[in-house]
Amino acid sequence: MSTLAATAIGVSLGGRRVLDRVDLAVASGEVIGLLGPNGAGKSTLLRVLASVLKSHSGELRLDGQPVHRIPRMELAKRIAYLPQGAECHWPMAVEQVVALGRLAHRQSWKPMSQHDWDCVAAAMATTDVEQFRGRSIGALSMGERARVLVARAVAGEPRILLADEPVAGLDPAHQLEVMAMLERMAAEGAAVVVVLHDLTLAVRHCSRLALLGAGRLVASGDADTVLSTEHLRDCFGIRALSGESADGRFVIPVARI
Amino acid sequence: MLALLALLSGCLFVASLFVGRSAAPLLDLFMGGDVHDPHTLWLIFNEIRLPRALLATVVGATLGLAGAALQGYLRNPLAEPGLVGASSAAAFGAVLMLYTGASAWFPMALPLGGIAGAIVGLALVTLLAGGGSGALTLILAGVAVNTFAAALTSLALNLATSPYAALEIVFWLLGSLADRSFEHLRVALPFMVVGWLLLLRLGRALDALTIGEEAASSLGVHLPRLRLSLLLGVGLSVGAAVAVSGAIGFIGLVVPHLLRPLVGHRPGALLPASALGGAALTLAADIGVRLLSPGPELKLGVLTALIGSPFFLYLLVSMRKTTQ
Repeated sequence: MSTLAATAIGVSLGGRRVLDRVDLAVASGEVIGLLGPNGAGKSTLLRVLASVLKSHSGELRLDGQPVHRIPRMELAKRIAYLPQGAECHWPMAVEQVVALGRLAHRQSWKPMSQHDWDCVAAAMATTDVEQFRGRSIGALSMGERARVLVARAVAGEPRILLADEPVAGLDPAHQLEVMAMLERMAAEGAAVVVVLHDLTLAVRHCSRLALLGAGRLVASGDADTVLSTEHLRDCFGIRALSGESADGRFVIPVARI
Repeated sequence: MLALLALLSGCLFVASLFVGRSAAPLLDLFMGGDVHDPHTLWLIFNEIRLPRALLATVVGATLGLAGAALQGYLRNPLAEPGLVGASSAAAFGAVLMLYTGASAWFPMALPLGGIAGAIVGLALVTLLAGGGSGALTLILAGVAVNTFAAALTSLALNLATSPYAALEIVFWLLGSLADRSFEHLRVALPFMVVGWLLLLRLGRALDALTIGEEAASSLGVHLPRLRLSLLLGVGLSVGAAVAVSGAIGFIGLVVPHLLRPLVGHRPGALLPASALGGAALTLAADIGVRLLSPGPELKLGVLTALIGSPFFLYLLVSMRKTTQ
């Protein structure tokens, strides 16, 4: 059982208050969908949760322990962070990129163990990138590259997975597949926070939603509370069509207000 | 891969011991042939050839390693060892010794001055770049120190009392490994070794940086510590190398570039490969210098630039072809 809990997080960047007393907690088995318009502070919150950005106020605890007391490598083993945008600077083989996810698990000079390679293979299987194994990541399309980087984050067997728009640039089938994978990981005991813009994916695949607006937590809870008509209007400035299909719920933005 | 490169360096090292004037008698000395003056030959071998080959090896390894580390850190294949400012500061330190005449009555003043220069330059860059973690401030601080050190070197040339003094400075700046002794090796090697150890440890962090600074940080890489290690490692090793050899260009740029595809573009694996490749290329170039110029010896730095720049252009063009 793992929990990552942020309380009263405040961040200022360039003199602007980006996050203001935001609380967010995620526990094993949950997929939290982090929603909000551009500039609401979603990515900043995720960076704080991943400890790649220090908050100016507030506290972050992993399993009840303040994160700054946890050794860097230990933290890296338990929390995986997938930043926004697929970036890979050298045209390395796909398998090698995914293997980067095992870095924190390996001793400095030791080569990859059999278990390491097993995790890499499993991560590539769940993200459907096995067929690219030996290919250079530079030769893949944006969507394929994004899936490779999702595999990289998953390969570390994280207890906590923080993914910033992991489905951006993916075709619909792979969007559903990545969301299903996140759900599966949660079912196996991981805690997942995922930034999304697709409201239907959010209501369909997340166990709980959190809505940020202008640096504040506007609402959190189930889809009905968080994606109410008022919240959609006040935060996003939109009206949405929502309903139930044979396969589940959908929320489709239809007009600006 | 590494074994092959090591073998190549080893072969070139042995070749470097024998190529040049009195090559035939030297070979005879080892083959047990009839030698006219074995004492002088041993002297040539021990005091001239051996230190020269050893210096070519360590200087080349330094340039290759530092180039690979910087390219990995900046994620840019155009980065080269001179970027952090230590080499031009080292050059100025050595030039100052030539200018003041200190090197005339104490030969070791030259490399020692170079190393002192490198350390001062390095301290300046560290101070300027502050405690941040970004790559850009590092480059800008390096540019600032490079420009200032180059300006001071020009000033020394400008104020040189005689044309001969100016010529001596210019010739030294061209870069060479001729007429170096074990003293040079003894002065420079400790700094190089410390630099190498700092750089060789960075493999994992550089691998992680491939997917961006924040992802690397989440994989356990301490970015400010990485930058400090890189700065000190490159500064100490390259500064010491320049202090004994002058500026030898293109090795640190071309070698990582050549070897990168052979190690699957992994920046960590490139570090040891590039060190060995740098040693091999420098040894080869130093042999070339002796073979090509029977008269006044061509300077090593001149040769590497002459061959290096067209070769680099060729690389760029062929790279463009493959990406199109």
